[in-house]
Amino acid sequence: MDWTKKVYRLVPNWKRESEVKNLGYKVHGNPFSTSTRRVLAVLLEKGLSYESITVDLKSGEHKTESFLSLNPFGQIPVFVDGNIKLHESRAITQYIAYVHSTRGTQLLYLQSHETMAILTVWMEIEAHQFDPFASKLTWEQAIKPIYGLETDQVVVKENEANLEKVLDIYEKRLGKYRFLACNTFTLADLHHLPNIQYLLGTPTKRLFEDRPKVLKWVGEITGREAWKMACDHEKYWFGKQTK
Amino acid sequence: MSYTNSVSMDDGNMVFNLMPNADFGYKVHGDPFSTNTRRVLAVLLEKGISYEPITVDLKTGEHKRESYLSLNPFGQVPVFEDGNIKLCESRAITQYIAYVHSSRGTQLLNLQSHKTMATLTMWMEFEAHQFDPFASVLTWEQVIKPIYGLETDQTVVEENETGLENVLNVYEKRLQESRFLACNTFTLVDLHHLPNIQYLLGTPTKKLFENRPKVRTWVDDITGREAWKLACDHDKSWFGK
Repeated sequence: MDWTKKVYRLVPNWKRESEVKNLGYKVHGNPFSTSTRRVLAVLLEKGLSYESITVDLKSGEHKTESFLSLNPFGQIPVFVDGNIKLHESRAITQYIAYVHSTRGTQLLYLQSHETMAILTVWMEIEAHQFDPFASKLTWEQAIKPIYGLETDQVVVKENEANLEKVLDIYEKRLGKYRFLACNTFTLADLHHLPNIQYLLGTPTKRLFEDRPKVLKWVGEITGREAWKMACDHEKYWFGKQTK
Repeated sequence: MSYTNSVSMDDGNMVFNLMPNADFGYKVHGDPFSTNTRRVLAVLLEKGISYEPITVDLKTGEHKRESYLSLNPFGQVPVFEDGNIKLCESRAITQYIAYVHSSRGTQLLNLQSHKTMATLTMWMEFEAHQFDPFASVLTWEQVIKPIYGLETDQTVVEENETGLENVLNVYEKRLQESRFLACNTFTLVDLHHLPNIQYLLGTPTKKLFENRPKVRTWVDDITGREAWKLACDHDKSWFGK
């Protein structure tokens, strides 16, 4: 079965607004939050519409009683589908990818237990090997300045040293496959996007630039239309609020 | 195929005891005392699936040597082999086994609907991103470091206990509505917590579980499972194989 042909046939679907499916989805979050963008990326890859509801992180809205009734861990995003409320961005992205597995970009690899297993492994690698360092680097260099806090260069150095070891493994992997799990773009690659995007605006970007395969992969995944839309807060967040 | 929520934990244990072991030629490279290795053993035992255990000597740094890095470039245990498939990351391995053998042994998923599976996936993420960061540091400081002759850092313990208390408060509320975390039956979500909880029950941190009645009942329930007790019995479940 030639899955690459099937993927290319599905790709234009999400571009046609009139065909965007409205299922009454709501996303409570913030357009600059890495976790919120992770969810938006999947909705946009699938051509699904959603209502965006801003949670004001700066004023601590995510720690108020009313928000805690949505998510007792006081974190964004929260995804609402009818009477189901989901949190944890990677649980939300998987839910959307499974429910809409035949729609829009193919983000899973459901035709083989073996490839789904490898995809699950790479999703775990992103969550447990890449994210701990990448998210700290994003926090120190991209988020803290927004809140008027000072970047701790010692923490940056430590985490860059660790991230380099992870990226060395990615470099080898991407020497064998075009993307991390297999030769097509999947959720495993998508989960990396929010932190990578921020890090490309910091000195940490040299870690990606020093590794040719990683650089190529970063260029490909950050260049995706749906991802660029997910980062366009005017159109794809504030433009989607009903207030 | 749909599974109802009426299967009780007792049925799960009974199924475990009566079931003959199936052999698919699985191998587990790991260490019987490692939390991540035990996570995988627990699922294999709940499912009644046999495996060949291959010890990786963590104390001598075997997991950082070339020969092991060719199995798992991240230099961590366990690695699971199914024919020519090699998987690392314990939670990816447990999910693989639970899906491939979903109709065998204890039902560890909640495949009734996309929504029930979404709730289960969300709680698996909570364990990984809310519970584990604190629980694994507490296990490292109080249980593992002493084995390696290193000193426990009490400041780190205090910090992480505070973090864990906030998480357990959320669990306490959840367990008032649901017998187990994802739903009313034992699933992979509860299982993933077992390795750290088991170690923490042997440390002062156990008071955090004991102070919360619903959490305490849940901890007793899940740590009392036959398959889990077997996973911790390194003579029977590891060296004896």
